[in-house]
Amino acid sequence: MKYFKAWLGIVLFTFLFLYTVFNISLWPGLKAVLYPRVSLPQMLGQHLILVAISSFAAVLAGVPLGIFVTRKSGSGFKGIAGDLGALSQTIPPVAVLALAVPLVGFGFKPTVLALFLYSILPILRNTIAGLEEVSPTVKEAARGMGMTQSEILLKVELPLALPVLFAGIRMSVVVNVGTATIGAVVGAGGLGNPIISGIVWNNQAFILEGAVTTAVLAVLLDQIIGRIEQSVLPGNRLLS
Amino acid sequence: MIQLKKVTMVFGGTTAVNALDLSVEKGELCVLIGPSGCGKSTTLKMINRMIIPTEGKIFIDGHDNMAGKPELLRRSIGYVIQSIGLFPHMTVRDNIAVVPRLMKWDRDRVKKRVTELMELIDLDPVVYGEKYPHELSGGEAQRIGVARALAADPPILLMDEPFGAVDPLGRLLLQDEFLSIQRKLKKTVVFVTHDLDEAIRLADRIAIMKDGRIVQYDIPETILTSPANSFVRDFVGVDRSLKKLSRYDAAQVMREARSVDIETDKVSEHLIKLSEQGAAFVWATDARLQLKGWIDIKHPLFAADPLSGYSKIEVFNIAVQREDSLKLVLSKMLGQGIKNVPVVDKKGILQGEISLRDIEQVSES
Repeated sequence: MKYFKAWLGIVLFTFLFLYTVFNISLWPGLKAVLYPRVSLPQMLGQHLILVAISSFAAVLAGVPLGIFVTRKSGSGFKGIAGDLGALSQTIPPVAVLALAVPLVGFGFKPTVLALFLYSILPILRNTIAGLEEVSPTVKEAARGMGMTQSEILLKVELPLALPVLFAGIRMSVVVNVGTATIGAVVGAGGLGNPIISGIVWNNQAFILEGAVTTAVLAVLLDQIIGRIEQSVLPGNRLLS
Repeated sequence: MIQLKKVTMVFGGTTAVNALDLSVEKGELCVLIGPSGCGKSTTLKMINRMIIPTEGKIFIDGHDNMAGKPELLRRSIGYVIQSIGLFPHMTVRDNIAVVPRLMKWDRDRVKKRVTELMELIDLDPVVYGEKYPHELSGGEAQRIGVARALAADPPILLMDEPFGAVDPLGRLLLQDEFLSIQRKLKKTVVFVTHDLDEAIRLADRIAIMKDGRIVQYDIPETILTSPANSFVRDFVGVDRSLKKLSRYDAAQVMREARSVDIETDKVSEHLIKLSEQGAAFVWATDARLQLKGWIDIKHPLFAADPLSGYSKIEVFNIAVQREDSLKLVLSKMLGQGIKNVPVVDKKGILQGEISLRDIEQVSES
């Protein structure tokens, strides 16, 4: 019941958002001011794919790396992993695009690469922080009760680190939604298209179309991930 | 049975445990005690291979503990540490079920066992089962720690200052409760503490440690009456005879108590008979032997009305419980300024009485 209530608002809001995106061109008179070359649903789809693939790849790389460097065998790499993560975030995505285009060509690929590099740091850093926060006493108890190293990781450390880990994922997804608009300059499509065109042609309506949709999408994804986090971790929410 | 043979543990340059020999018989509770840094915790942790000794061997029921996987060894040995060792993301039920699940017990068996253990430690499974550790008091969390260690019914329990984080009063309750569980289950227990009263109350044998060696290993009575050297004498302190009292329960020392049922019509008759026998006072109860007060038979108005010496008492202020230690009985006597205390059970039913003289006899013996 508690979860139902939590989800109800967000589901309604998502539905309203998608309904508007899909039907906005049917609005009388609005068609004239909308970005004409690609439809809004299509751009939203491209945008979501960019964000999904880059975030997924960042989780897939950042979480295992974070786990590895907090193990005894990988502790020597902790410093360098943190530095690389920080470095990848200090290089602006635009610069990554500029460097990557000659190597991998225009479009989708350089954009995903730039987003991936940009979002790996919060995930890596929060994975490490979450795992390091688990109290040594709790880990000692787990070991003393006869858990193997992998059982300690899966049954004790990761569940306890999840809130912090989730916060990292949430942050990187939200940042990614905004940053992905940059992809339009190298032809990756997405909601950056009308923004770039709007700037070039000095068309405020195009800019608004892309910017408002992007902003609403970011807020929605943030809320959805938050809800998922809550329903996955019943006991964790009240942890100090 | 646990045997440590010439076990040495060196950390960096310091020798924490030095060629230590120790043997704990099956069903015995052995307390390791000593000043901090004496190696007691290290000794305990070497038994389940949390720490691997530099030299020497440890045998559990005759088997070298270095044979086989450490995880399997640890699952067969209950391990209790201070209450913060509970898993904060698991409910009480899940915490207790950890080892049975590691051992792949089927679901129904785990469920039944958890319920059984919660009843053993006197926590209602319905009320507490789904709570998380942060919702528990320190004492409750610690009892669950004990239940969790007992879950897979291991023959051996290792307890590392298990009641250290609990307030003094709660600690006494936990000790009594653990003692009654131990009398039922007869586990082989190695118990580390720095609290001598706790050691004397619980131990079958006490090993007093200093600088990685055992200075004296004996039953508590011997440690108290004949300390092996000046270190032990200082460690045990000047209040040795007082400490000895915590070895005894009220139930072990109490005598039968004279009582009358004040709700019957024949109460006066009884009292007159007792007066003729020379009794000075008698406990007053209701028909179910529930303690209500006492009657002074030497009261000046006794001849006129035998009940004129009747005083009601706050039962749980005056009376002691069967499980209370004699030390507590004595402090109650001194606190209330009385020479006789009634012993009752949890429901307030009169069980017997203890006089100051009885306590004197115990401490002199």
